[in-house]
Amino acid sequence: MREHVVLVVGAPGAGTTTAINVVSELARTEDPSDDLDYGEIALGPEERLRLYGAPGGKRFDFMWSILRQRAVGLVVLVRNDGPDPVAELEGALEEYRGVRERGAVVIGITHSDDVPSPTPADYERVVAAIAPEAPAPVFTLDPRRRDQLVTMLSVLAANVDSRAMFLGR
Amino acid sequence: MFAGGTSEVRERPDTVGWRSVATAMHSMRQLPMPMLLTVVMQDCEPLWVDFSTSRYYWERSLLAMPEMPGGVTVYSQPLEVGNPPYPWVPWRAMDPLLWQIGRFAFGGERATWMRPGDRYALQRWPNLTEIPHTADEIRMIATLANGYLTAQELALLTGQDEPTAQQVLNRLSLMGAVKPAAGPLAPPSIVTQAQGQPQRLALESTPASSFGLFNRLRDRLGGR
Repeated sequence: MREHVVLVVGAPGAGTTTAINVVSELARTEDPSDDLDYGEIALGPEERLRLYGAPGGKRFDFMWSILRQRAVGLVVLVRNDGPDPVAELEGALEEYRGVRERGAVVIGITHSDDVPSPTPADYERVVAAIAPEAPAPVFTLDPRRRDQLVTMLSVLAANVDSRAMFLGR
Repeated sequence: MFAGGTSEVRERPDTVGWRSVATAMHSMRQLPMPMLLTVVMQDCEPLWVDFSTSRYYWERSLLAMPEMPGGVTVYSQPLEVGNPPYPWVPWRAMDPLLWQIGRFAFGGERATWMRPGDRYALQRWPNLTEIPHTADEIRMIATLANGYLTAQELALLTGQDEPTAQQVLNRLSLMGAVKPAAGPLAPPSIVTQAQGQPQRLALESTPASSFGLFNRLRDRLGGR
């Protein structure tokens, strides 16, 4: 079975559980006793895109550290009405440096209708400072909207493919 | 609201279509001072674009944007720093407007400010959750995220024709989302390889195989 692991991370309330449930064909509903959310999309008889999320930031267990090593993609959801959303994004990009250097990252800003600032441009400046090698997409996102999640995952996949093409993999 | 307390208005010549608007917008973006652009067209509500906050206001939906407006006049006014104009109107983020104007302004021809043979790379992603887009456009933007390319090279790597690739470059350039290479630059090795292949192999090696994960995901989730 060929698989592509994508991590979906974000602060509590950013929408990681909702996003995984909305876009996945098969999703495991969040259970308070579970450490991970899980969803998958079948890309063929022997190929799966697997989405893993850590609800409430519970991501320091053994399973999560294995997933980090296998992940080719990272979705960071940032809650715009959080106490310090820019610092939240900086922390995630640093924490998952290995994933973004190996694969691709896409950033979704949630609750931006409630709180318009910081703007996507503010986040883009942060991303450019931390990861100047290639621009990371920063999109406004309603995690309940499947069309927007499809766009985010499509961009993530296109970036993985494009990078592989340029590196001759 | 307006710099110097006066309404300094500079009028640009009447034309038909969005070309002069796009050219004026690109010029505004290069200016160090905040500017307000007002576009007046026949049979259309006036369009305001505030470059100090990257927002626009238009009563009309972008879905109802005329492809070829007549009697277009563009006015530009300097703004006071930190004092955006008309705070009572519901301003919107500018990316969707520029994406749409870029589509109509030049067709598949090169934008007036771009030079033949120049290479461009992506410097920021447009906010695609707010912009109608196609799978081919995602592929082209992702390709520009990884190297400096001409329109011809972008077309080659993504299996598009050159006017289609040029139109995407025009739109991204109008949005300030691509940057030109600082000087002469050799093409990326992937371009040289693709150019050296027989046409049949080149076609086989672009987008279907090079964007395999993307294509399979779009097949599954819809949107190709």
